[in-house]
Amino acid sequence: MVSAGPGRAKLQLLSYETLSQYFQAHEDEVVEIEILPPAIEPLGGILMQDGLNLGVPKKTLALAYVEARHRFFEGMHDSKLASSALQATKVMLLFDPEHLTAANFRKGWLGALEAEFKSYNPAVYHKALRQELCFLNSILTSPLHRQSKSPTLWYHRLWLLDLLASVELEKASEDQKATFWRAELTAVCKSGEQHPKNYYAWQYARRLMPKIVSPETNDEFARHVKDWCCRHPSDISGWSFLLSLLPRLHPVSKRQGLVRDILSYAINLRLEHESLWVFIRTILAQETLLGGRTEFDETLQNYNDDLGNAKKASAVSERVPRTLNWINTYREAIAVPKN
Amino acid sequence: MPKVPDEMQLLVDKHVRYIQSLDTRKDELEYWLTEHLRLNGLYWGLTALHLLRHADALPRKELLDFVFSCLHESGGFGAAPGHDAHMLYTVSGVQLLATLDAFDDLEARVQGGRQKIGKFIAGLQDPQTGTFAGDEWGEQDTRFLYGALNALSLMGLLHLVDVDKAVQHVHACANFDGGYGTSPGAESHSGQVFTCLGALTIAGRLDLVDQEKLGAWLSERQLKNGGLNGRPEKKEDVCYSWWVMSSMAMLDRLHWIDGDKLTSFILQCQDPELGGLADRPGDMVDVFHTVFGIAGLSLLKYPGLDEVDPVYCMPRSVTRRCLGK
Ligand SMILES: [Zn+2]
Repeated sequence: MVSAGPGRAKLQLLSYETLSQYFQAHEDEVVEIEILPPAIEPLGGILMQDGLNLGVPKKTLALAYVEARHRFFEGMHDSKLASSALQATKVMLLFDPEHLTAANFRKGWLGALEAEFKSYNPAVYHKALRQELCFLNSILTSPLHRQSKSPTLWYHRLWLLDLLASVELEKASEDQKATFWRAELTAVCKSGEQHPKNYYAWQYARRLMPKIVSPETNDEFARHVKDWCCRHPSDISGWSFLLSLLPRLHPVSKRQGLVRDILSYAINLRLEHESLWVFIRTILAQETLLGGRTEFDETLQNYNDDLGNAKKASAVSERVPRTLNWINTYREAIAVPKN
Repeated sequence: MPKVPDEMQLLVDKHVRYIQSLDTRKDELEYWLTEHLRLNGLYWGLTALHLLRHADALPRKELLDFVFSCLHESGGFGAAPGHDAHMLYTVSGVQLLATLDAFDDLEARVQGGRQKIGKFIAGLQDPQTGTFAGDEWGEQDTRFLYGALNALSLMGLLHLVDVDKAVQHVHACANFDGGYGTSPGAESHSGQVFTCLGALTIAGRLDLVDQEKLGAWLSERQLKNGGLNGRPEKKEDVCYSWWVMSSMAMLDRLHWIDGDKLTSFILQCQDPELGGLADRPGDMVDVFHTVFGIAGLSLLKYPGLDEVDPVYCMPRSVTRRCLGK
């Protein structure tokens, strides 16, 4: 890859410039990027563009990265070359989302913009924040296996979101706030589909919650995530996030309703997914969260009896007694009578 | 002795050669893709060589030159020269110095070097919650907290931080399902279990752990093929041979995992031609899975390997020297 030669140097430059120009041309839009396998070769050999869809051959990306890396380290400490370095970080993060130094450079640049423009020309600053969010959406929600779960990029987004919230939410209506948070959850869910059991995407969602004050948004998140989990019953990260939302629902009857739905979903469809049953056992054993002993234990016991009576053993008929066993071992009983 | 198929033996010489070859692969994509992990990669490679009893297979002076070239004025290490300093690189830097028995070399090159590194780490503790950030940009994670206690204890500088506060924070990360996450209320994950147990072990506070419940959660990580996963319904992966098994070792419950089946799974992940281990059989090898596979085998008492310290993922002889115990 680094075997030098005039031909390669030209290709390197061409790859970088083509990719970089694509990013520039679409800096106000979310694009969908895919790395093409070696078997697919775009005409002209550089990129496959179709509006907001971009296919990048792995080789092109690698060549572009070498050029980007060179420009970045050349420009990161030289104010005359800083904008070239900044532009290079996009290609670098597309290739290597854990390139901490590149991500930090972007944070430093946004921080400098804030200091320079926030008070006297806030539109410039605001636009840059929005463009950064577009860039992050493009990388975090595209079908890019490593990128969509990148802890570095998800933290970059969290850092960015605080800046954006301080610009957009101060004078926003309740509706505007709800829209703002909904967009974040949408990005998490999409990323969670690109990379199932996406630990850092769902951790990001968790870290949003203390910033959200509206009970309606809490309820909406819980409903939305419950539906998402039922469509992805193997996704332990989704279930685990849903579990963390339950204490935010008031009154307790809302939590019970949600758990009731999930339990009947599991039973009616005879699902055996470990993640779903981990969710069920973890919530049923926490009586304090459910406001006391519920009818769910009996529901589960009855289901177990039915399965025991069935002639054929199945994965479910192993899962359910083990779930009951876990609940009985670790039950955290409520100490005071419910009121 | 009965003839065992090659993949059922540890191919020590091949792994040594694989690790030696890593720095000569600059014309491969992978080399650049992993530049942000260069210092960690050295720590993984060197640790693997020590466990394989080939401690001298990499040249000490060149290693040290590189390690020092990553050290910032602030006392933090970057992944490679020119890269920003971060806790994750700083821990690897300290672990490398410890393994190379090079704290004197550090003082010779940078006066007060140990104190400087210690202060960099201590400066990242959040005085309110006791947890640690990775760098000045503020991301917090139990990985960083563990890293801080790991590096500081190796340098004998734990007194620079509020260990009790850190312990309280780790305790707050315990989930009802028995596991631990990156922060209070975060999803349980075997890697995070390792960092939290490691931190508590260094602080001498394993008494805070519901050991039965956590041990049960960890034992659910073994799949029918013998391999371990990190969370429910994830695929088996060699690196969890380390995160799960080291946790079991700290809980004194190694026997809750079927060691024979796990050994055979790890051995199947070797590249029989070029050496190195992959995440699972047939995949591309890398130095990360190589060290954690070998360290897992060491915990499983595979013959011919040096003993690994389950808290530090370093040779036990090294941690004994640094910790005086
Ligand atoms: Zn792995």
